[in-house]
Amino acid sequence: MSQMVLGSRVLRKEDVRLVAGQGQYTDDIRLPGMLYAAILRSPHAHARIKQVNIKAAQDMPGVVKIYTGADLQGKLQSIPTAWIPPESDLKMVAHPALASDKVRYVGDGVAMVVAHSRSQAEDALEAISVEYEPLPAVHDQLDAMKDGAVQLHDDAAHNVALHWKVGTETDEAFRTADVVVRQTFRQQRLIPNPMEPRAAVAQFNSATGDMTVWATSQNPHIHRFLMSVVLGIPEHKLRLVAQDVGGGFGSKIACYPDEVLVAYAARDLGVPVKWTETRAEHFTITTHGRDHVDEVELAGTRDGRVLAIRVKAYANLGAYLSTAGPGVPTILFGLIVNGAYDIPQASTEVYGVFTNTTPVDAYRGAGRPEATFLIERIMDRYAQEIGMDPVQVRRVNLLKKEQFPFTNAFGITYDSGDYHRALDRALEMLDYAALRREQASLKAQGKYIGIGFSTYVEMCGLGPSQVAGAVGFQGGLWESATVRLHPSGKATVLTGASPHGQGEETTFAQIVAQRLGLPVEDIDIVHGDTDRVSMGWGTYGSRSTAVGGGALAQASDRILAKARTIAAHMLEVPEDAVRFEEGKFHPEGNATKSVSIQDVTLQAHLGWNLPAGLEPGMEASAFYDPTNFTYPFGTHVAVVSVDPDTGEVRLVRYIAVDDCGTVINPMIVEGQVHGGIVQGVGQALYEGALYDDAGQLLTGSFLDYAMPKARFFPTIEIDRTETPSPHNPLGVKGVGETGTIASTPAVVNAVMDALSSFGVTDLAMPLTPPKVWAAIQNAQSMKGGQS
Amino acid sequence: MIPATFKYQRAHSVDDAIAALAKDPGAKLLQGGHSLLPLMKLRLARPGLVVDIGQLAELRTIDVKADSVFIGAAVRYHEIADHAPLAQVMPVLKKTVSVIADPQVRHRGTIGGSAAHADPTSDLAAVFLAADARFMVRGPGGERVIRAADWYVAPLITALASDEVLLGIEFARPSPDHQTYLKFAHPASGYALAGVAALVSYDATLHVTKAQIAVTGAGVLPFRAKPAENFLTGERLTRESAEQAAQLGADAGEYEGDVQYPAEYRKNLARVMIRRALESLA
Ligand SMILES: Cc1cc2nc3c(=O)[nH]c(=O)nc-3n(C[C@H](O)[C@H](O)[C@H](O)COP(=O)(O)OP(=O)(O)OC[C@H]3O[C@@H](n4cnc5c(N)ncnc54)[C@H](O)[C@@H]3O)c2cc1C
Repeated sequence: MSQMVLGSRVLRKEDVRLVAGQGQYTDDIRLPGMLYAAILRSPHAHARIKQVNIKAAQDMPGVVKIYTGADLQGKLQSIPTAWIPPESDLKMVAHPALASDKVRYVGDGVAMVVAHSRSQAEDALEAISVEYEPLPAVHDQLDAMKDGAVQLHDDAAHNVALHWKVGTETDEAFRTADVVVRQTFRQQRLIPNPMEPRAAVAQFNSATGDMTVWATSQNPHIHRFLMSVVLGIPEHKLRLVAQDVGGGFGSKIACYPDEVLVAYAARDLGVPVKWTETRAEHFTITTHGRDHVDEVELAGTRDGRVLAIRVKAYANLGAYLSTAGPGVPTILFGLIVNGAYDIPQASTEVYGVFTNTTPVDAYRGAGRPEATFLIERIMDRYAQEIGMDPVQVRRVNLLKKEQFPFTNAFGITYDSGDYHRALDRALEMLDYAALRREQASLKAQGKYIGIGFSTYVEMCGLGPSQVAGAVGFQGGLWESATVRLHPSGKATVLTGASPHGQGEETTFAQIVAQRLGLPVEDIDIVHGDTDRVSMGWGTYGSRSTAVGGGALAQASDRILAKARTIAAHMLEVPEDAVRFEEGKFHPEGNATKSVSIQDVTLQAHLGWNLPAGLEPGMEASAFYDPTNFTYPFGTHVAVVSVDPDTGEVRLVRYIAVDDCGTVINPMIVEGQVHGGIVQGVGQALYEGALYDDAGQLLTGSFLDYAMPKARFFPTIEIDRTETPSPHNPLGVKGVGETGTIASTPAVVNAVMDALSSFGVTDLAMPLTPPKVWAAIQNAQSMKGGQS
Repeated sequence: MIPATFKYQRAHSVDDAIAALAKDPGAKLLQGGHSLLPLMKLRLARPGLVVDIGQLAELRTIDVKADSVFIGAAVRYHEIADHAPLAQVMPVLKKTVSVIADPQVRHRGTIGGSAAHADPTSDLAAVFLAADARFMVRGPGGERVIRAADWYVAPLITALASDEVLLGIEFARPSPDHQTYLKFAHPASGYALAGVAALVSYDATLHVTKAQIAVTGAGVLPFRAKPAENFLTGERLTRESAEQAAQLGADAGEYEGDVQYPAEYRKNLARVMIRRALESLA
């Protein structure tokens, strides 16, 4: 049985408590005497604060204390960024938890009320009067860089936060190439919207100096580290708990002002304080994603070989630098813009720009969706330009199996893969030739379908730590694990990864179960508490299983080694004559005489009769640092129909052939793929934050901001290939983001394929009905005009 | 997302509610709460008193009579969908309420709440207008009837006075033989970007004897597509006549765009949806 654990569809252990409403989310925390905080937020995108008057609010019922930016000056460090890309001249501008002189985006905090109830706190907010002197605002990164644009921070001229270049020389290729394709793409700003908004509860013990903060975090130890700096509380006195977290998608990586403020108030007042974000707040204050303008150039031959790619990106970073903000559009984007193709020359240049908008940080895929979008789109434009089928262009340029490990023009080394096989499998599922025929016959009836491809690769499984250091990430990227077997043979397993919906309480249990021959149900995975787990770097960048899983495997192997020594002693045979199968140790060639791992564990704890010199107990820890990133890949195909009357795009079929290395639980992998695809399609067709010229968010609720809905999707057709990664003991590659990375360009390519009948070659996302309809109308009226 | 302080009172009768409204002009009636409560949570509405009439039996009847149909104001969407005799005589009602939001909303939201809230994108507005609904209301001075054509005054504003209670909605019988409601939903909210109610009768040769068509969502206000009806009457219902009617019908609306959905797109959508609704009835 245990042989089958890895790779089987074990049902999610965590679902029992989550579905039954027994989870413990941050907002579920209720402590005796707890007060509630509400934060007054700037209604202006850019303004000078002239005066904050809290008198009337102080007298409101239930109000305990009101803090303004002025009150906190000198008491808290700036909210930090934790990613300083090397040679990017990053402007580390101050980010106060509450603004005192200037507000720089709608939602910037100005004051905090702490009251006995949440409604009292909200009521008091209305009684605070702030005198603002509005300043001109700029929300677009290109506008922000123009001469004469209003400047957000004194020390960032032209609002440029960073300027970073990487890659090889490309001029030669562009000078001599047969074909050069140029296209500017906008990759619009997205609003993450996990199901659970953010929240924080803080409790301070003034006698011991211990502070506990419950917070919605994807990386409690990073949160603790950053908060300890901002608050001046040493790490051994600061406990961060993120037990159940209802999704993050990157938006719960950052250390925000809110949790810092709550902790500050709890210490100041000596009573627990809670703050919970409203959905309306979420839209304006929780980090957004993407928001690129990318100028892309591709040089190639007439027969479909790409010689060089050159990218100039303008990334909107928002009003302040978020925790990972500067790293996303640089390191996680610029190093992989050649995608899955063998392109000898490549360069990326990035401007990170401050604007009067919500700070931008990682959003599912973080940098890699942006890179994948532009390479996959420009490949289609190139195919069009030279009159070649988009599949054929990909075949010519895709890396071949024999080329791995492959070092790209930016110096990163792709681990393993068979990209052509994934493409072949997708085409087979699609029945490509038949579909092209159908497309032609439908077109004759005035019906338009399109087929779009994305043959992607991404880099994830972040670390290793050496690379983290080299690319300016202010932390390590290794992971920790502790496997603790109790006398009964049941296991408590601690991990520094911090799953928040991905299902790792199950997959991690499977990893340990497989290695130690224990039943999955005998293993509990503990995460998300800095007091229980000594150290870790959290969950993002599809790293939990590749890195956290590696640590688990190592810790499990250490347990097994010790158990084997004890088993040999118990069986009275030499250690190398002991076999371990299905949770039992037996002498080589004698399966009838055996001791179970549970028997051995009990002995280890009793310590009555252990081999000489062996320590009692059965616990092992590992700190695992991988040797490289991992590189999942695959082929996604979207088939869409476009209704020329309404401009509505419908997804007719969606095929995903992914390779995430060794699969631990196919059900969970499929769930990740489904969710990822839906989010990526969200960007292609539905989602997009819009600001007006005053910097007001026009899409600040679910009435206007279109999240993808289940009813928009056909059944997603999934298959996979399995190429183990040589970089970690499990051979896993990560699958948390592949769907989002691959799907956006597949869908846009499909829509453009459908619209090619009208001569439309590019449209800015999201491809909403009015946009598609207007493009068709324009094309038709131009045609009408010509004839 | 936390409403301002308010008082809650459950009315014992419609007259009780009217008395409460008379005493406190700032008071608001509550039925399903699916329009009022979201506004209160955003503090866009802040009544000092909320008078709950959602449970009153006198507002919760469905009465299918020989020459008319009456639906009480507090009847919920799902009750309309599940009422077999009603579906028999006015199938468009079931069609419409079945595409409002999701099951949760349909189990709380009420026909009267939708009418009184007068969101210009509400689905039922198209049916009320197309079917010449009669709004039965009662105030301190007694009862009166407001015609659908007079009901929608402006977005979120009806002809109902602030001290009046909507008792229910009446439709004349028989209503046309062929009925449908077709909706193009806003991808974000699910409300109608264009929703068309079409009630048509025609003879054996498909010649239209009666056409009643109204559009919700697309325009500044829900509107009746009279020019389309006039054109169709006497015509054979074909793809071509549907298209011509749709063009005329869409022209009858007044459109305003927003940042995502420009006016001309909305008008186009009204045209396309009228045509498709009519085609589906042929
Ligand atoms: C998530 C969501 C999705 C929705 N999607 C749709 C959709 O797709 N299509 C659609 O049409 N609607 C939609 N709605 C709105 C829904 O139909 C509402 O239920 C309806 O508009 C209001 O009915 P109610 O009973 O909830 O009214 P309430 O919220 O209780 O009241 C609404 C207003 O009417 C007044 N009022 C209530 N009853 C009376 C009465 N008897 N006399 C006088 N005034 C009265 C109230 O004072 C209030 O001003 C949606 C709502 C939600 C929350």
